[in-house]
Amino acid sequence: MAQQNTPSTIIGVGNEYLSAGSFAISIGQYEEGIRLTELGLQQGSLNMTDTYRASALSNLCAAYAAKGDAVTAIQRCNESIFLVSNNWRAYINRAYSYYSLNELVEARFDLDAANALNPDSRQAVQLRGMINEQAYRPRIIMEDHQ
Amino acid sequence: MLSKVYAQEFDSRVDRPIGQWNCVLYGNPMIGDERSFFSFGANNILRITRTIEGAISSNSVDLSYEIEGNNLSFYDTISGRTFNATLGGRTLSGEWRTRTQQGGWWCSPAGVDEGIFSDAVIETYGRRLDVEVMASPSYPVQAIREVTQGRVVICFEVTTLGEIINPNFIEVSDEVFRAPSLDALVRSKYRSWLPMTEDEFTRPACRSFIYRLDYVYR
Repeated sequence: MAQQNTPSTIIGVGNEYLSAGSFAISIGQYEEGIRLTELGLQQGSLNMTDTYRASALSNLCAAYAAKGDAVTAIQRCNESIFLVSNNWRAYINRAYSYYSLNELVEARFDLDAANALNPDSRQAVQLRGMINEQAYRPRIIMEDHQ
Repeated sequence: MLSKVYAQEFDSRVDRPIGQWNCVLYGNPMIGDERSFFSFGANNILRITRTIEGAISSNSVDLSYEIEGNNLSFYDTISGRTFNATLGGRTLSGEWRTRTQQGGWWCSPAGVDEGIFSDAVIETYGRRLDVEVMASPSYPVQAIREVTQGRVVICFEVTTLGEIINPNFIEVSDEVFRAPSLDALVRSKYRSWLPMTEDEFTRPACRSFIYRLDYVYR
C-alpha cells in the first residue's frame, strides 16, 4: 500500500506524545506511532477533551489499519466515533479498515458518512476509487455492424 | 500500432454527397445490420440499392433528398426511417430514426462508378466479413474507479486483404474510452474477401464497444 493510500491522520497538539505519535504515523512508523499515541492517551486521560481523545483514537485506527490489523483499527474507530460522531477522518479510517477486510458495503457506508461531513476530502475520492475497483466487474461487449 | 491507420484518397471533407457510397446501417434490433449502396444524383434523387446477404438479388428505390445548410436528410419510404447527416465532415455518416427506434449509418466511397450496381458486385459486397483477429479493449482503471460506463462506435473501411483503415469515431460517450477502443480496433483483422488483385476495393463496417460495470454484492 503506497503512503498516499494510508488512512488519514491529524497532528496532535498540546500533548507531546500525541504530536509525536501522529508524526510517526504520518511518516509510516506505525508501531512507534501507536506506542506514542497510547502513551499520550494515558498521560492525558484525566483532563483530555472528548474531541482530543477522539482524534487520538482515530489516529490509532489509522495506524492499525495501515499496518494491516483492520479488526483492531475498527475497534479504535468505533471508540472515536462513539465520543465524537462528526469526525470525518474517523469514518474514512474505518472505511479503509472495512475495505481491507473486503467488507465493501460497510466501507461504502462509512465513506458516504465522511463525504457528507467533508465533501472535499481528497482521501475520500481516492478510497472510493479503490472500493469501486473491488466492487465492480468490468465487461466489454463488442458488436460488428456490416 | 497506429501505423495501420492511414488515410486513403477520401481524406477530403464531404460537402456535397454526390456520387456512389457503400453504406452500413446499424442499430435496428428487428432487422440487424444492413448493407446498402447510396447513389446521390445532382438532381436531388437518391437511389438506394439494398443488398441481401447470400443472394444475388437486390432491390432499388429512388428517393428525394434535401440539403439545407450542411444538413442532409431523406425519408426512406420502404423502411419508414428518416435519415439525417451533417455534411462537412470527413465521412458521410449520421443517424436514422423512426417513431420508436434510432440507429446510425456510415458510408465509404464506393469503388464502383456505375449508377446501377451489377448483381455480381452486390453479391461480393453483400457477404458478411469474417473476423480473423478480434482484439478486445481493456477497461480503463480510471473509469472503473469513477464507475463510468459508456459506448464507442467506430466506423471504418476494410480492404480486400481484411485490413482496417480509416477509422472514424461516430460516437464516444466518454473520452476515457476512446484510446482503448481504437487500440483494440487497429489490432483486429478480417479475412480477405476478394482476390488480392482487386485491391482497390474497400468495404464499410462499424464496431460498437459497450463498456459495462457489474456491481458485485458483498
